[in-house]
Amino acid sequence: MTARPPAPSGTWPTPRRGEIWTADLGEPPRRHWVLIVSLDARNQSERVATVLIVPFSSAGPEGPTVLALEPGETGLPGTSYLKGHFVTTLPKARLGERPPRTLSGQRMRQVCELVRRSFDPDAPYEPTRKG
Amino acid sequence: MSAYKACNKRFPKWESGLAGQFPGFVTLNVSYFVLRIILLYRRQDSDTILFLQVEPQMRTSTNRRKLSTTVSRETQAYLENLVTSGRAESIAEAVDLAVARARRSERRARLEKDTASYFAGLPAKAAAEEAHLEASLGALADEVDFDS
Repeated sequence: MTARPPAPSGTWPTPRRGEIWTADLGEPPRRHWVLIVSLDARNQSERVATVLIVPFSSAGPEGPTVLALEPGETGLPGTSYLKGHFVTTLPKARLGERPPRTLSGQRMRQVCELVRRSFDPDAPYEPTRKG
Repeated sequence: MSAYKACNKRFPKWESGLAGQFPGFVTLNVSYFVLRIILLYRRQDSDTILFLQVEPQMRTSTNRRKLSTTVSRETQAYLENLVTSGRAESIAEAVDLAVARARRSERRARLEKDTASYFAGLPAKAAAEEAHLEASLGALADEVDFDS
């Protein structure tokens, strides 16, 4: 197997982990907010055409694999629900714009647990009991 | 082989303590772990009183707590089996191991239950969003070159 040649400069966006981007998903394409979760070595590489993302949704509720984030933290128009069970590979060419907000390291650790709970039954899980 | 014999075999420098004076008591002082285990057998019909005393200079862990309680004969046999089979170094470690297994099992069941509740209880709007994301993200797979 031969290594993929580097993409011509400027062909793909080069996002960073923790950044929120728009991405055109589906046919016909519809704009979604997504969180970049893959490592920067992959995100910044000109030899890798994809990143790992977790999509946001505008509808809740929270759950073992869903985290609600307020506009003040994300810069998005309303409360957004990050859906860890939809972690997926996205071609960098599908990425659009990037608002200025980046999630904190602590939030990214929570996101890792969120994603892990979607496939690992032994993932750390201490739900907050309400009422 | 009982936990008492196993400890005796592994750590020959034990002290008989109260055992010689009171037949009901067996005292172990395992200097390597600085862990003292006192077992009082057959105090009640079906229970064994178990004392675990961890002295402050214990080297292997500093966050141990003293526990004094009773256990059933079946529990005692199970804990001793964990020691004699080599899965735990001592009764204290066997208790930790058994509790860790129980907690893991509870955590698994809670995660499965809450995940099922999440999907079963989605409001209509959220369910529609989920369906849309599923379709959109599924279609992306056709664009990804998994050989690169």
